[in-house]
Amino acid sequence: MPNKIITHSSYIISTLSKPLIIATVLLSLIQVIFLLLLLPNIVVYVGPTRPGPPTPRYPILAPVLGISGFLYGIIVISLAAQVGFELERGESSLYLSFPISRMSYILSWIVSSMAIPSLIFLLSLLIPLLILDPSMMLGISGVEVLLLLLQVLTSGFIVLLCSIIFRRRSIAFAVGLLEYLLLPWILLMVLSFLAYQIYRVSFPKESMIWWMAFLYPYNYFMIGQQVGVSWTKAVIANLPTLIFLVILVIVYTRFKFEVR
Amino acid sequence: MLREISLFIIVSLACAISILPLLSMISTPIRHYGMIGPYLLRKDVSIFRGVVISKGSQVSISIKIEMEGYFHLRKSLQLTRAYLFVIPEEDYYKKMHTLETLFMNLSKEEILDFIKKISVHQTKVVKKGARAIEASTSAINLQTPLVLVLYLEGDLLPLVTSPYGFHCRYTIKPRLNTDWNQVLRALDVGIIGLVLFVIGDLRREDSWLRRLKRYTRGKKSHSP
Repeated sequence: MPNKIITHSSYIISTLSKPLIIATVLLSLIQVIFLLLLLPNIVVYVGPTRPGPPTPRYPILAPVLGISGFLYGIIVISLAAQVGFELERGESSLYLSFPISRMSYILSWIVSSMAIPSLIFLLSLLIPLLILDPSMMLGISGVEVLLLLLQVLTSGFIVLLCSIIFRRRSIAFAVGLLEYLLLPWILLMVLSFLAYQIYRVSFPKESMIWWMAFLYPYNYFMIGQQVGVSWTKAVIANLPTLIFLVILVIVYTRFKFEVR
Repeated sequence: MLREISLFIIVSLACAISILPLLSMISTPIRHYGMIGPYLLRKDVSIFRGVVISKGSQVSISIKIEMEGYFHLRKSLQLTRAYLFVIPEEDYYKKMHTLETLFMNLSKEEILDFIKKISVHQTKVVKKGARAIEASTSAINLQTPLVLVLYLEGDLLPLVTSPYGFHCRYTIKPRLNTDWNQVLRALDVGIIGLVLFVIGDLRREDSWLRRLKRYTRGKKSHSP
């Protein structure tokens, strides 16, 4: 089974090669250039003098991840929605007529639409750090990278689930964009409006943004860092959600997934 | 798949290597603004505590510091001597407490000597207009956290009686220093990427390397 998954994943990547290579090379270029150029400003801290141990500084990689993380999210969402395109055109029935199970078929899509872009995203971040200072690979806020990976993978699995349920790329892509880009900001705007107009309290408060940790651990951490939210809380809240989505995809593929 | 991933490693590495030589030329300034009151104040000597500069990495970084200050005073300040000192943070917290307790009893020279002894760099502060001062240092190697301290000497009575502080802007220009170790590490990554690419490519049916070999053979056989 793993051999079939790898073979089919390679095939998917080769069919998607042009847009995938262009997008990932672009992502890599942006990430490497931004990381290297911003590195002196990222690692140097200037602040008021205060006795005692230095306070941990977050977010360190935010200037870089702000752009590359957005691109990475869009790449994963568009690749996960590509399953819907294959199901829509009926090409999948052709592949499944070969001795490849439905589970292997979906797993190979998970590998090519989520695992490979995530690996590429990590590599483009790690290679410049590895050259400049290997000790920074873990020290320079691996937390931010971890939370961003979890957030994008959560969105990726939602889009994949939509792709195999609705069998339409357009619906899956629209759901992905709505969930990843629009929904958190619409909800935040509504909450900040309510906080100011009705409750007359300063925004954000942890009690108002806790829900973000389930689907948007990176956004939750970035917005909530001023009010002292911890990254562990974001991971603890998000991991069950992500695992639930993975199980949902597997269960749906095993019992309900139909290829017409 | 290995071929694509290794190709990506090579592309990323090429980007990184092409930018590496530029890093020692590029410096994006970090600015820190603040309204600060004097840390220690007398009619003739005053010490202002500035900012702390530290780095969260082992990469070699040199910094240039520029300071611009403005006193919110009605009268012009008469300065005879003024310096900007750069003191390691550890020494600052260990020894400045002693200065704090002895400050009122020490002479100007003794205070200046005391700060000079614990500083790693000092630069002269020049007056710019009636109420403004400025200073800029040469490149300092940032290894341990550093604290900037401003020493002012002269007729500081307007400062003692003034309810306002001192408005200051520090501009830190960090610059990354590249060395041979980074080049060697890049070479290591490049070799790993290349080996992975060759392995990944030769395992594929549509091998680019085999195609290249066939193409070069064809060219050779056609040539007279």
